[in-house]
Amino acid sequence: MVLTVDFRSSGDVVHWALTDDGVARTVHEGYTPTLFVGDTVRNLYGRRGGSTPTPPDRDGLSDSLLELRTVLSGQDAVADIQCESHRQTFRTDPRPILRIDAASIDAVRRIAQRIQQFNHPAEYTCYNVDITRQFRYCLETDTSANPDQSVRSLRSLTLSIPAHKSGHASLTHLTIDGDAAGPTPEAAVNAVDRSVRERDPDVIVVSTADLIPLLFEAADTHDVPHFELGRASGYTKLAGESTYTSYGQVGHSPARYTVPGRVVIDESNTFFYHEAGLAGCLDLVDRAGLPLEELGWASIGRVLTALQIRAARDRDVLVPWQAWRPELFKPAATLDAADRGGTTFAPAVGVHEDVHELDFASLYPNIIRTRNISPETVRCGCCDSDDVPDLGYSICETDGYLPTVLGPLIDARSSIKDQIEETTDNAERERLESDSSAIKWILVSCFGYQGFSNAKFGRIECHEAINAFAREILLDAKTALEDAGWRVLHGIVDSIWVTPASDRDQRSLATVAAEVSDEVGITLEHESEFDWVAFCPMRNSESGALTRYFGKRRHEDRPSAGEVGDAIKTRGIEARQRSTPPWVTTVQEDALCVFDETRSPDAVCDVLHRHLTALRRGDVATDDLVVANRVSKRADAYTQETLIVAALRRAQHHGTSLAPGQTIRYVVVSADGHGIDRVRLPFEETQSYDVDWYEDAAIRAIESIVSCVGWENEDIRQYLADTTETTLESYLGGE
Amino acid sequence: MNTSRQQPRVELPELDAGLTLVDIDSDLGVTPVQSLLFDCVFAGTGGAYWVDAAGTVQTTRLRELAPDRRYLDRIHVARGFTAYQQTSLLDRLAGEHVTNPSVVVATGIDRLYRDSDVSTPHAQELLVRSIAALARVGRVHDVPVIVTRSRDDEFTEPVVNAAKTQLHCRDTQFGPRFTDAAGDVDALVYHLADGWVQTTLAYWQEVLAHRAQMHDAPVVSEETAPQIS
Repeated sequence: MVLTVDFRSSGDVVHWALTDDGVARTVHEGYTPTLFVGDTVRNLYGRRGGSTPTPPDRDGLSDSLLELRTVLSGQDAVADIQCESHRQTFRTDPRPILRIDAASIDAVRRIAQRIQQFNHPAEYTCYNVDITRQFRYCLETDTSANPDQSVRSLRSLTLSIPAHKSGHASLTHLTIDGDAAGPTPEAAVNAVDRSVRERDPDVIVVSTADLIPLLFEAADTHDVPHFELGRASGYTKLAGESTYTSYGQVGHSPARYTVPGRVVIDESNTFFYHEAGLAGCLDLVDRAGLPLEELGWASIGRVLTALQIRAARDRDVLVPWQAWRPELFKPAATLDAADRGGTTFAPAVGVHEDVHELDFASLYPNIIRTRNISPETVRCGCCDSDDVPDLGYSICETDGYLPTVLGPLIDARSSIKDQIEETTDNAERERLESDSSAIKWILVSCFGYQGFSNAKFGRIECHEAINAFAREILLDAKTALEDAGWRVLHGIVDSIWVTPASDRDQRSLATVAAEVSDEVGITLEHESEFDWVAFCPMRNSESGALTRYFGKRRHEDRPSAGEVGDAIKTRGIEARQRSTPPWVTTVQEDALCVFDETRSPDAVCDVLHRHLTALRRGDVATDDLVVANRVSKRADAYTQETLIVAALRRAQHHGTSLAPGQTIRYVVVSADGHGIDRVRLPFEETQSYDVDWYEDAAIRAIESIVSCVGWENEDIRQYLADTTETTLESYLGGE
Repeated sequence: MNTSRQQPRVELPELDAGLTLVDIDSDLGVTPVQSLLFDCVFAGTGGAYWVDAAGTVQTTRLRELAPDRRYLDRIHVARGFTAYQQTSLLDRLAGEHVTNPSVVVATGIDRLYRDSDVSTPHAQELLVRSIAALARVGRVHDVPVIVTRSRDDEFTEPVVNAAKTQLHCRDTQFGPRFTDAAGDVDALVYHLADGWVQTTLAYWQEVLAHRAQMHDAPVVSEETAPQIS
């Protein structure tokens, strides 16, 4: 049971665990992390590779492994070298390979890089190289990553500064658990020092990890004696900041810091803490075995990888360092069938009454589980069967490892969902929802991750097989529903929308869904009932957009006039988008409420007219006009002078540089103006805004709604022009 | 030269066994290489093996180009998504999985080695190793090996040095034209004498339908016979 693990430059490791009244500190001297070196790429993945690799038989080490052993023996970075047998892939038996114990945690990568440079470039395959340090320690010393809250609950402390502030001066804005720390940097540092000593937190949550060096620097400048954030002296920089590209999206990962004996969670660099809170994170630590601090900054893929690494170790399979394993050759005809992605039925554009949405529960994870899809089972090479629809791939009869990883998560999520239904305690419900949300993300991502090229145990053929099953399942469900008298309005991946077909009798949806569930082996749930649903067309087109719709849930009342609440479900329209200014969201939600009551585009445009009048009068607070865009590259890398560029330059002008992956917020004050004067940043507290620009944004948001009854942008503008005239006439008393 | 309207001249360069580097004007995309690949499949008895590192195996275009869908069963594709996977695949070409090829194709051979997670000296070594693997496949099976690169620079110099032939496919006013530096090859694929340029797809479809019938008439079905007028 471990709270956190520190790695000291001496090579010693300090292991911290909870006790009734504090923590216990254990020093592990002479910890030597282990990596492995195995056969050549040729024998595992090259000409002797394939479904089941056929490396040549040997009793001991190969000549080139012996040669490597001689070269590495006696090097400072190496503590010990042995010959041990392990499995290098899921489809090979244990073979004698080199086990290298590194002198320290930092020596692991150094050794791997030396091996890469020695001999031919693909002469060796390395294993267990890039495993995060705390996770590695838990694996290799058989230590549970769970801090064990049966001893006592974790104590946490939150330190925050506003996002646009930096440098020593920012410390005057520092808050400790929401309370102002002090009016000067010196007072703030002293307050932090006091709180940390009094509270002795196990977890320090910081709004940005940069606070850690900043506080130490300030303590130094202002001579605050014995200032510490950790349970021993100093802090460690674990990684510098970097920019990366993933799935075509640019991300920014800030520098990472830690302090001895406590877990640091950086709010600007955490997915799971945002999604699931500390309780949800701890639940996931228990399931994935990834220590809390590393889970704090981990991506979904990293948690999934941790789960897979544990399952692989159970089967004595090592963790490959570089992604040597390629896909198998396949006929272009097969790739053509495989490359089609998820199935969608084109939605019937327009407003439909009495609509039901049915969803397959956790479709992709359940396909993996029920169809035994795993990197080592698809196109296994040992079974000559035609199992995957359209593709003809075989799936091995032996149980795959991926279903064993996902099975417990699927079961846990469904049991948590049942508990949420049953509980009457709000705090309990909140905790359960956090746990459920953390697991949901892992399940949602496991499919896509199979197709990710650098995934440790991913395989594109698994991705293709899952898709092929999903297509077949959705099409079969469509047929069953149609046979039972229902008209299918739309279908996408795992959801189907139906309405009673005219002139037909319908069999009950519950019965049909139960039959389909039985047939498929995956539950088809009756997700929602709608009084009406509107499917929007794509912009400038008459075809339906796949994921733009809204509808009124049956038996759900709107909270009050103008509020949408849970009563109206929306997808893909402006109100759902992070970048949309709050005012535009309000306009759209008001319009949705009026549309629900009247189904009239005229009435919707009257709502718009009312809001535009207020906008033109200058009555809208600029806080409600803030646009929030994700930064995709550095300001000087943009080729067009967009508003984002203007905002980035303005931020630079104020001394704040935003990196790709971060979010820039601004108010548009003069879209047609020049340079940095086109926008203002939120903290500049401007009173003015660009009326025309926000008017266009509001009209587009209204167009999203009335387009489902055939109205276009010009129709809205025409209606507004007519209304203005009418209003003017009534003001003047008419003729 | 036969200039009759029923029998227009449709030319594609005849490829020798061994490495041929093909540089293509970017406007033409990967279609000229796909066309060379199909042409070898029409003429040979075996299949094509295509290792793609450039993200250019888009089966939509292959399907549209194929005079008959059955040809798609004779084209074996595998995609490298990392420099390491590509290295494995090019070595795999020399293994027992590859039987009786008519042609081997490696598109964007340098692309993944330029990725930032591979150090430059290591990348150069992997590239050289991959070129050697391709040359070996050409020798062992005595078949043409078509290679393309993403950039013409110092990094890809080893490809030029290893290639027996270096072709350039240019987009000319009379249609795409293959030439080599030595002047031995000069194939204007299909003369657009009237200057009327059809869509790229329709153009190559006609070219391939014609070539397929020339080499491999029995496989080409009635409906897809060439309609060049």
